[in-house]
Amino acid sequence: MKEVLVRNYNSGEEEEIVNFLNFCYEKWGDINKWKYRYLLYPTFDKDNISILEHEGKIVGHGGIHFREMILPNGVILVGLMGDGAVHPDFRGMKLHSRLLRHRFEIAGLKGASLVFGWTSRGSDAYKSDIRAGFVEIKQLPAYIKIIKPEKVLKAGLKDFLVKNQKIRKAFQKIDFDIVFQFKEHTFSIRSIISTSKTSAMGGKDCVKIIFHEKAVKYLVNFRNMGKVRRVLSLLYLLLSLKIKIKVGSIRMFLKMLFRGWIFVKTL
Amino acid sequence: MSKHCDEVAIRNYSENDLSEINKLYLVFQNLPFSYLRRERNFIEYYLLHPDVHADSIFVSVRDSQITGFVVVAITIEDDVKYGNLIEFQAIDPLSAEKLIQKVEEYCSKKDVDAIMVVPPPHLQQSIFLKQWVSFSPNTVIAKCVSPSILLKLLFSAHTKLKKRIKEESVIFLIDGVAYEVKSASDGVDVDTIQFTKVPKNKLVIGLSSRDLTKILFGRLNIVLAVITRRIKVSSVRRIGFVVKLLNELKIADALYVSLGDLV
Repeated sequence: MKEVLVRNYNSGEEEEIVNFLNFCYEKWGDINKWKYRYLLYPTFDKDNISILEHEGKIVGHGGIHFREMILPNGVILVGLMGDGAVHPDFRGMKLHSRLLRHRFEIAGLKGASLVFGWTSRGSDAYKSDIRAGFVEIKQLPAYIKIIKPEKVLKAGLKDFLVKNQKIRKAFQKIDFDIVFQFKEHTFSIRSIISTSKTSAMGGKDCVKIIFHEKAVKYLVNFRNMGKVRRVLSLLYLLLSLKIKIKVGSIRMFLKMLFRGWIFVKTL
Repeated sequence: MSKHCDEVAIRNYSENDLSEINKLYLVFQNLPFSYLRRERNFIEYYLLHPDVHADSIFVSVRDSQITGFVVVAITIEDDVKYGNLIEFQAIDPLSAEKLIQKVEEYCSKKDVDAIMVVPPPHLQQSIFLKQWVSFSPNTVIAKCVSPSILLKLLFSAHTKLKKRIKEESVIFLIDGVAYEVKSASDGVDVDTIQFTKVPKNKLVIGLSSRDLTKILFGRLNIVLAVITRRIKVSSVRRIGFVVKLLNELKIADALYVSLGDLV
């Protein structure tokens, strides 16, 4: 059993923390982002950062900021949680919950009664947070003006796959490539999930998914939909021809039907 | 209408604007939304964002008065260049529209791929948003970590709630811990108490902290929860009182969080 200690952040650990977050999130950011997010935050205190340590090395991180929330009938102090991460070698040891509990205790000591977090619905972190007692609440919607849809779609799909390991694994198992097409732009699923730049683009051994311009407004919300809504949205897009699927051969069509069902189950 | 629109001028922000910008947030008062307090130090904080530059902060002015404010941070994530309006506030839709036009011009010059904003509650129905796509960048989750502090604050701040416990205290049994909420000379007291048997002459409401959080944000049908015994009430005769009391605990329909508030 690996012994892991939970403690608050110490000055001088900034670089190690940034390296750790970049390792866990792939591209988290640089030291300037960290300084802005923590050191410059108007209510920052050292206990706003919880660290998991194993043999002198950081293996987990969790941030919390404290802020006053205005309610229609008064003011309360709340905690805003973010940047939760556990080293892959230490996952499955309930360390995420330990980090959460540590921050809940700090929140209580500071006089905060509620804590908030932001996560992708259905992601591994979301499931873990719901198990820890969080409930989903409503927030005012954001609005996006998409100028280059092909870039936004590709990035959205990548983020969705990074945060949903089950779906990512289901895609990794398939022995053919899926190519997405939006207007004249194409990108393959292999180029998103694998680090290798060699990917099959076109030919008989691939399935081509063609997005209509009108599909974009459904797709930008896909990441934060529940399972049923995701399936229904996909069905609607297919039936209304906002998404078209092209296959190179009958063999590919049969393969797609079989693998497609596995994919729907993991959604 | 166009005459009014023309009266609104957009210019770059200068340090002297800060105190006037602070006053813009007075329009939030009396709206049925919860939001994070924005004082001078937080406005200054948004301006320190590493991707915010002197030319990416704009104010709208009408009759020499500042009527709106926007802070744009251009970030690159996965090769996509986003124009994030990390803070956006305007007292009227016309100023908001003019500011957005300016932001679109600015982002176009910077070759941005997508522009994102969370409009404040009173601007959610603005005309300019009709060309934009509404979406949820992520899901907000909440948890009550200290029921005693929360109950004290809610009962102290809400006149109706305070009146309800004036004659008789109420015990909330939350996740097995009992909190007695009672009227005190200087306001409201919440004591953690222990009992092995439910006290006969006391009203006890049993619920989970998860359901308490749901009640706060109007995500639980209280009547149904009481009928199905998800929320347990010690006295059947007091169910009507309990339903009213729990309904009054609701603090907001939705949360307003700007892109700059997300940590």
